[in-house]
Amino acid sequence: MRGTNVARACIAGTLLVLGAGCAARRGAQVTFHEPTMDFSLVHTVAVMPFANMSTAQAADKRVRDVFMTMLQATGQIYVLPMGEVQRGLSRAEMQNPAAPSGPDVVALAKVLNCDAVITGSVLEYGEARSGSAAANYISLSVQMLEATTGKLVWSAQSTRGGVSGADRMFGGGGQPMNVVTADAVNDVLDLLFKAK
Amino acid sequence: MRAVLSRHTSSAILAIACVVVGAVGRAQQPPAENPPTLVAILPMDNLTGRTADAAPVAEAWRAALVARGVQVLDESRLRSLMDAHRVRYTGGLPSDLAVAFRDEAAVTGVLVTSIERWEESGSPALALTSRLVSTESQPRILWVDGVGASGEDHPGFLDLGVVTDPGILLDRTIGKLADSLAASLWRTGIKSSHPERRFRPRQEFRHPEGLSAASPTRIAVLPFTNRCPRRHAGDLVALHFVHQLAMREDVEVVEPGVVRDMLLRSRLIPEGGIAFNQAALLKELLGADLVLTGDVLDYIDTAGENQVPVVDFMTQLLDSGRRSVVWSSFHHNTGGDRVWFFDKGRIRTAGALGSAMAQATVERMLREPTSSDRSRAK
Repeated sequence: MRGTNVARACIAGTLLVLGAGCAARRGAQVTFHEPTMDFSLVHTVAVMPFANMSTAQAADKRVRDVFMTMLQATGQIYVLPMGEVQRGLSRAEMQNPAAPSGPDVVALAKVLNCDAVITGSVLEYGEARSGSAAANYISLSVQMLEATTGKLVWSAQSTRGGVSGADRMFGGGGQPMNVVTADAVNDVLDLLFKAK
Repeated sequence: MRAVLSRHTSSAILAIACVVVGAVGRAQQPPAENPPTLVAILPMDNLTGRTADAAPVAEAWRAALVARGVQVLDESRLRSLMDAHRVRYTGGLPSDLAVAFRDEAAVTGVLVTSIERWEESGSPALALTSRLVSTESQPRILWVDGVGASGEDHPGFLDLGVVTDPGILLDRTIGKLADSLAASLWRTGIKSSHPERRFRPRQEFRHPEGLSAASPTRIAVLPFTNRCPRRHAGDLVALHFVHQLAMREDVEVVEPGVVRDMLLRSRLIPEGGIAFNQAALLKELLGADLVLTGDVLDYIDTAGENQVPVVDFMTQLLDSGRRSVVWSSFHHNTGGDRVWFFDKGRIRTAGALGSAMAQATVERMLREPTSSDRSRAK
């Protein structure tokens, strides 16, 4: 009888540890879709330079590069090259490309001939510590603004990485930063294509 | 009798296997149509990011070529020609300088070498890329190769293979490159490694209709935008791509010196990437069907024994004719990726890692279309 209780306690403990680990790894996801928007009409997008709200230098450029390549790799949406976006920004004389106003988006979309403009912010990017354990984590938010009106039609946020229960118990440094970034971008893209 | 027969059979199988392996290992480098009879060695282009004494490298090149029967332009003659044309940049060969070398010194090939890393103190390390450029009015890359080596690449049993003398490492490295160059000049086979799966892009996009209808495709490689603290990282990654693309028969790479000259003349600064109208201009001026560009985010060499190099970049290949991105990829690798036992396969210089990543990328970029590519195109 006592042996059965011990076994149950061990199983419960293991499940708790695994559950805690999974809970920490799972990305927190938030999304908004404009209900009247037909996302199948979006074929060409311009990805603006992302805003960097983290303390890591060049985090915005890294995440933008990963995001652009992964969005392009879906084969569903054509992503304008960075230089073309840069040219558009210069011609539209946009002051703050990371947070454009509605008229700015409309003007830029006319120059670039795109269906939507995507902006993004890197909210967190770096290493989280909990006791002696450390792991990489990222939090990013991405928005899509419609070209003809400059209205926000989609927004999503994802957080990935961080110290899991298993990291706390057994050590280990979590996933490499690039894997965590790709996971977060993948979450965001999943949320975008669910909009259809 | 049966034993003899089986021995003969096994010998025959072994011989066939050797031939097959040898054939597979041959580089697909285009042979030089007219082997240069007189080669000029340009002063080394220092991309180490700090001051470095490149004179021993130039000397080693000169000695290695002479030893292999290649005629080399006299250094004083080279200096006077460079002074007369006020040559400061030695990382490439623009058209007018190529013609000057041909007309004024009867030079038929110019050797351009970029030094990426040269450590003489502590554990020696040397990484460089060299190419031989023709002296035609439209200079062509006749041969290109690169090596990233450190003294600890092959430690062997009880570290007996560790090289501590930089001179030995220099001679070995230049000797390897000179053998490759001589083999190219005399049109014998050159061995090259195969792209490794572990260095393939993390994410990639390839245009469903393929890269280009032109064959061979002419590609201009622009310096990548450098977003990391390592100086010249953008130039170095671009150079790795020039190296790997020039090894292909189905691609013709525009000599980087010509690209640089054209960018300067047309006052074209591709800040933050290249736009389609700029790509169209390059197509008109250089005849480039495609333009390769990108960002370098990390280019970290090893600073200690237990560290591994890290290279992180993204690429974009633009077709100005179709006004489209035909290839896009993101890469992140370390020298210790998929190294499990006894440091087997570990890469110790960022140069060797960058070159391996560029090789794997070029292989993916120029691969034959698969059935999924075709179905996407439909």
